[in-house]
Order: sequence, then C-alpha cells, then structure tokens
Amino acid sequence: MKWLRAILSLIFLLALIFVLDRKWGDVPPVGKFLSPFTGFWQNAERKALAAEEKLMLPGLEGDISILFDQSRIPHIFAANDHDLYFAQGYLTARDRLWQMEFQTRAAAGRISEIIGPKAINFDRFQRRMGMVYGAKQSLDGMMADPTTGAMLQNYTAGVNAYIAQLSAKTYPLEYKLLDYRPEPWTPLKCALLLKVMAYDLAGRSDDLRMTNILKKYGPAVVQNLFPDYPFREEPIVPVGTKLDFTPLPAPPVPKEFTASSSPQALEREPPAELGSNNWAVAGAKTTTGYPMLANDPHLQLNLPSIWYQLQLVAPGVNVYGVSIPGAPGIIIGFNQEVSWGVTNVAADVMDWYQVKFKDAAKKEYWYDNEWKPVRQVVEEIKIRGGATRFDNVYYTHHGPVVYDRPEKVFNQQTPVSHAMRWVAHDKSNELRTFYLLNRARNYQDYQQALQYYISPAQNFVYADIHQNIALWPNGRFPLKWKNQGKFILDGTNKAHDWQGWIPPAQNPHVKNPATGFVSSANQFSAGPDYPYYINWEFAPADRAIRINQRLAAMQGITPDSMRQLQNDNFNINAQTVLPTLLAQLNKKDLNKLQQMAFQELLGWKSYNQPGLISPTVFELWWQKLTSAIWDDEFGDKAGAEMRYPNRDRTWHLLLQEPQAPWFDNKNTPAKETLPILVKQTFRSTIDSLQKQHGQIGKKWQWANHKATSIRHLANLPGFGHENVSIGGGRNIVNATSERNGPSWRMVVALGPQVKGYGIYPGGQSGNPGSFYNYNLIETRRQGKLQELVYLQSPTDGAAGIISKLRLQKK
Amino acid sequence: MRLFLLLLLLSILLQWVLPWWILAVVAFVLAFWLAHRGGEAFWAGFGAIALGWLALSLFFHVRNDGLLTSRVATLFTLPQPWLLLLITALLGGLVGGVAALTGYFFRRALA
Repeated sequence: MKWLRAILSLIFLLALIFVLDRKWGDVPPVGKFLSPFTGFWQNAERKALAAEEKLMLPGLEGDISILFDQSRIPHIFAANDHDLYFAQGYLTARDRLWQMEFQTRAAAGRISEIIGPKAINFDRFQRRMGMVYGAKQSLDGMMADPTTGAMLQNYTAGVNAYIAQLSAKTYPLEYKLLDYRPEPWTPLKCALLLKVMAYDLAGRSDDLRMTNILKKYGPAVVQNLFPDYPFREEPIVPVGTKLDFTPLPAPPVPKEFTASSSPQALEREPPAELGSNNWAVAGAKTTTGYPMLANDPHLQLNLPSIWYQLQLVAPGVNVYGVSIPGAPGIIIGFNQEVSWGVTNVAADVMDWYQVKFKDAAKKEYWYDNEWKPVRQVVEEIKIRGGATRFDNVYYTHHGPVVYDRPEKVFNQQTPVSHAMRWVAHDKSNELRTFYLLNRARNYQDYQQALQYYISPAQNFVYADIHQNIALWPNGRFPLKWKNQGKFILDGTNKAHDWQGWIPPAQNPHVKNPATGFVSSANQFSAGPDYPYYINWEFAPADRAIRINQRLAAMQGITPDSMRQLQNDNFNINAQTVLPTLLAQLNKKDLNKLQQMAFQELLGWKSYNQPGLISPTVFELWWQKLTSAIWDDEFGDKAGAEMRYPNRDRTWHLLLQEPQAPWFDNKNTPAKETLPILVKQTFRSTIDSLQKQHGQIGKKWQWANHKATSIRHLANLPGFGHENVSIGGGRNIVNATSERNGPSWRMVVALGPQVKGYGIYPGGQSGNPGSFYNYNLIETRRQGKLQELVYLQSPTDGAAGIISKLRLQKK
Repeated sequence: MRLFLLLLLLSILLQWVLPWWILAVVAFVLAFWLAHRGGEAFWAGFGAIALGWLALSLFFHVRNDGLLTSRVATLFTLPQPWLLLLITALLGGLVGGVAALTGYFFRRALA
C-alpha cells in the first residue's frame, strides 16, 4: 500500500514535469517558460545600461570601442575592416538574433522545422520560388570578390561569437516561446536576407493575370484598359532629359504567341503598396547652401524594426545609417561627404515561360526545336513532430517551375506549367555596391558603386558636399522588346528568352537638373523618350505628383521642411476625382447620415489628417466604387484569376469617358451608369461605416478607422502596438496604411558638418522585454525625427553617450 | 522549517545553473531526508519553491517596470498582468510540493 502510494505519486510527478517541459501545439513548455531561473522572466531587461562594459572575444584582431547613444544605437570604432564587420555582426546578433534567424529560415522554407506541419505550404512555396537557389548564386558572387567575401566572413564570425555566449537561459524570448535553439550563422544566411528584400520588392508579377485577361477580352481591350504608359505621370528622369549614350537596338519582336489561360496566379505575393519616397534638393534651394536628401522606405510595420541603425568607423570609412539585420554594411545613410537613399524600381524582372514537358515524368522539355533535360531538385522539408516531406522542383534553363500541379484547375484540357525567370536568381554582388557607397566621396564613386548592383532594382538618390544631386533608377534590367513579359512567354522559343542587359551606364539617370531637385516615389523610371523598355506599369503617380509639386514650390529648405514633406497627408486621388463624384450626388436623395457625410466631404481640403472623418468616407467609397466598376469583368467571380485596370486608367474613365460600357454591371439586367454607381456606392459606404462605427463621431475619424498596427514579426498578440494614431495612407506621401508604412525616415543636410535626422517605428532592441524595443514609436507617431549622433572619434563626448563597450581580443 | 529553508536555499542554487526541473529532485531528496508528515512535506515543498519563483519573477517584473509581464499576460489572454506572477508561483509550488510529497512517501515505503 505504501509502495503503491509512493509509485503513483512518482508517476504523477514525472508526468507533470513531462507535460510542463514540452511544447503542446502553440502552447510553449509552460514549466521551462515560466521558471524565473530559465524562462521568459530572464528576458525582462532593465532600462539602464551598464556605463562601461568590457568583453574578451576570440577572433578579433585588435580592440574595438563601441559607444551607445541615448537611443542605444551603437557607434563602432575599429582599427580595420575585419574588426568593424565582426563588431557589426556581434552587436546586430546581440539585439536581433531571433529576427535574423527567423527571417532566413522563412526565406529558405524551413519554418516547418520550428512550428510544424501548418507551415508546409509556406515552406514549399519558398523552395519552389528558388529562394535558396538565388541566395547561393549571390553568395558565389559575393565570395568571389575578396573584399565582400571577407566582409561576410567577419560579420558571420561576429554573429557566431554572440551565439557561442548563449545558454538556454539567455536565449532571446522567441526561442523560449517556440522552444527551439539558434543554429550557427553562415554567409549563406546573409545572402538569404538580401533575397528576402528582393522578394518583398521585386516578387510581384501580373503576367499570369494579364494573360488571362488577354485570352478573355482580346488585345484591343488590353490595349485600352491596360495601356503601356499612364495618362498622368511624372517620371523620375524627367521627360526631355538628354541621353548621354547611344542606345543598343531592342531585340526583334518574335511572332505572336498567346499562352494558355493560367489556372492560378502566384499563391503568395508581397503587398502592392510596398514602396518608398526619396528626393534630394540642390544647395540653391536650401538655407545652408548645401544639398539636402530625404528617404523613407515603406515596408511592413513590424517589431523588431526592419532596419538596424548604427555608425561604422574604421580607417577609410565613417558612415551612419541603417543596415539589414543579418547583412554587413549600411544600406541607406551618409558619411562626411555624400548621402544616399533608395526606393524601389518596379522593373519587370520576373517573367513566366509556358513549359512543354515531353511527358508526365518531366524529364525533358521542348526548347529551340529539341528536347532538353530538366534539372530536378529534391527539396527536403523537415517537419517538427512529423515525417520529413520531399518535394520535387523542376528547373528549366529559365528557372524553377513554381507550379506543376495546379490545385485548382479551371480548364481541365490545359494543365500548364510555368518556369520562372527572375533576376534575383542570377549571380550578383550587391554587397560591393554598399561597401563602395559607404566609402564614397563624390559622384564618380557613387556612379561606380552602382555598376555592381543587380537586384532588387532601386532608385538610388544621391547628394554630396560638392553641390551635386542625382538619381539613378538602377539594377540589372533585361534588354527586352516592348512589352516582353507583360504576358506569359513561350518557353519553347529561344527568341522569347532575355537577350542581354541594358548596359549599366545606360540605366535611366538624372544629375543636377535645372529644377534644383530630383525625386522618386516608385513611379515610371523615365518617360516615353527613354529608349529601353523596363515595364508597362509602375506604382500610381500620386506620391510623385505631390512631392514634385511641393519641391518645385519650396525655397529656403531646412531639414524641418523636408521632414514636413515626409509627413505630408495630401490626397491626390481625392483632389482628382472627388469633385466629379460629389457632383453626381443630390442632397435631396440622401438620408440624414448620408447628408452629414456629404457635407463633410464638401468642406474637405483633401488632407488625410488623423482626426478627420472625410478620409474615412472617401477611402472606403473609392474602394467600393472601383470594385463596382471593375469587379463584374475582372473580379474573383469573373472566371479566371485576373486583376483590375490601374488607378490611372480608372481616373481617365471617370473623368473623360462617362459613357464607357464598363460602368454597367453585367450581372444585373439594369443598365448602370457612372452616376448610378456613384450614388449606390456612396450609400453603401455610409451604411458600412454606420454598421462598423455607429453614428458619425470620433470612431469615424481616419486614424481610428485605419487603425495602423505595428506587429511582432511572428504576430504574437500583446507584443505589438495596435491603433497607432497616424494620418496618411496608401498612395499618400505619408504612406502609413493599416500594416505598411515608412519603416525608416531619414533627412540629411550635407555641409562642412553633415547633420542627419532619422527615426524608425520601433527601437534598437529585438527583445520584447526591452524598453528599447519600442521606445521610438511615439516620436515616429508624432511625425518627428531624432537628430542622429554622428561621431568623429571614440573620445567625441559631445553627444549624450550612455554606455561604452570595449571588445578585446581573447 | 528546516526543510523549508534548506529547500528554498538549495533549490535556488541549483536552479541557477541546471534545468528548471532540478527543483523536483531537490524537493524529493530533502523531503525524503527531513519530512515527518505528508502535509509538512507538501507545504514545505510548495512554499519554498513558490516563494523562490515568486521572489525572482517579482524581481524581474519590477526592474522591467512590468513591460514584459503585461506583454506575456496578453499573449496568454490573462485579464491582469499580476496573474502571471501568481501562476508562476503556483506552478513552481505545485511541482515542488508534489516532488516533496513523493520523497516523503518513498521514505515511508522504505521505513
């Protein structure tokens, strides 16, 4: 009896420990996680930093001094490049290890290893997109160059020096929550992070949708509704900019090919609204007499912050700016003499080729009148708590066949496969560009740095102390015939391959224009007078129009007026269409609530200010109206996967073609016209808003309705910030939407003593238990910038340094 | 009291360097050695471990201004952050108490 009691009790104890030491579904190992000796409590950091710290690390060549300013941003002083990038790797890992590692695992399609079977489809997609394939190609390019190869290796050594110091107790919080451990860092992971950027910024493609539209409506409709240049545009390189080169001839246009309808478009795509603004103004327009530069890349608003701020100082370099956690060097920043920034170029660098396999075995495909071998790659997807899955990915010479077994087949007769040609799969060395930009002293250095840059193509804005401003939409652009890749291409025809590249020196560019400013906001790189084809569609011109309007008017520019422009909430879309829409409404036909909203809109000055009601009404109304016009022909229920004509085309339709047949909803017997749609959608807008927010009042205010959130990368409830009150919106210069927006804002005033200002919506630390995880959000919310601490030497005590760290050779 | 104090001290020392469940080993051994009654064993084990867990988590909670406590409490859908401290203490206490009781039962079985 006594034994039975003892043994039962022991069994209960062991079971209890077993249950509490394991992860069950999404529930972390409760015992391990809650124990204050090993669990999450250990990650609850104190706010104050040690005033001085010393650390001995193996792998260093000399001593490194690191100063932390009030935002805990590190300023690294090293005796050589080796130690500089080692320290960058070490410090970035110290603040952001989980983020870096999680993102690279996601890129490589290895999330199932951490969270189990529910990530299989995600992982499979990543593998099929050839993310690791592309990263390996880039890695080859970066390692082949001794300078960038060493950069990667030293950065990697720094990250690994930090990982080596960790124990179960000191792991970043997310490892404890998801119950896994960090693995050693490798240079391939740095390359994967650059591919994550390439995917986010150059991973969209409408080729499959456009082909479906072409099949359904024919070339005349496509030409009409999906034209090759907008009605209203202000290209980055202004129309009339003189060419300083003799262009190569475009490849001949092959005979017409119409691909089969595509059963599906991409399973996953980055949001269309990822974009950015940048501009530079000449000294003649500023109070200091020297150029100024501004940049704000718009990405998903996440914690930890997408960027990592720091200053890197070693012989030959003193640069400040933001880096990608997980990759060495500074991506956007400034040094004593130059400053640069980037926005995305929506170049068409991802094309789809219809592949003709010989048979179901997919061992050969037809190309240039012969059967060519298919390269088969077996992807091994390890799954936590499940058996490993294998997936075959087939590669033609174009690239990976992303879909070979369509899950949803619209047309049973034509199961089609498409191979993807993507510039991000090519051998490249973007790191060299950033290495050189970090050390650039003049326009020639900048221009030289840009030559090495391949993907994702960026508009590199530039300003220097020698009174130059410039902007190069830059990257590797395939030399295409006009509209090559607007639709699915013929994978059997050699003439459909990419035929070469636009020479880097002939990429669009503008330097010191008479207007005294250069700017980019993801719009067309150049006007119709540029000799090469880059794409048929870019981001809507709204932000570009507003920025140029303001810059043309501004004189005596200060860093603060640049900041105000970054926060500009003017709604070009409303200014363009609202008068026409309001003219269709008659107060008599409206109920009381509708009349109130109508009255608000009549008095609205087209600014998306956080406290106004009009932006809420207008933005929802616009959405409903667009969908009322196009959804019957191009929406989900129209048959195949298609897309709407763009905003510019819709503007033209509304303003110039009131009789267009497209206004009719072909799913109803009645004949709808523009005035009918305007009235219907206005009523339905007010109804929806009333349902959502009740009577007109505070809840209808734009910031409340938009409810911008900054979320933890793994979407952990409680770890993000919801309902951050900010104005702006999609296609507004202040491009803060529900989930995306300026992920870094920077203003740089060049001059004898360069001054930088910047902010990101987060903080330095990736630790959710750190005050420095989110300390900058409120400043960012208010639209302010912080003066950036740009030090000249480690003894430069001028600006509030709160902590010092000395790394010494062990 | 001796059991309680020894357990408090020794469990803190060992948990500092070893996995969390070492507390069960300590509670088992000390109760086997020192406990006279089942209730005494359980409550000494529960109290010592719960106190250690509460004190240390409270220390982290305070030095961090409760930032992480409220984030993790939201994650676990707890209505109040302080509940997380309570749950932490109760959970540690439960394991400590059961382990101590088991130790005492084995002593009795052998006696």
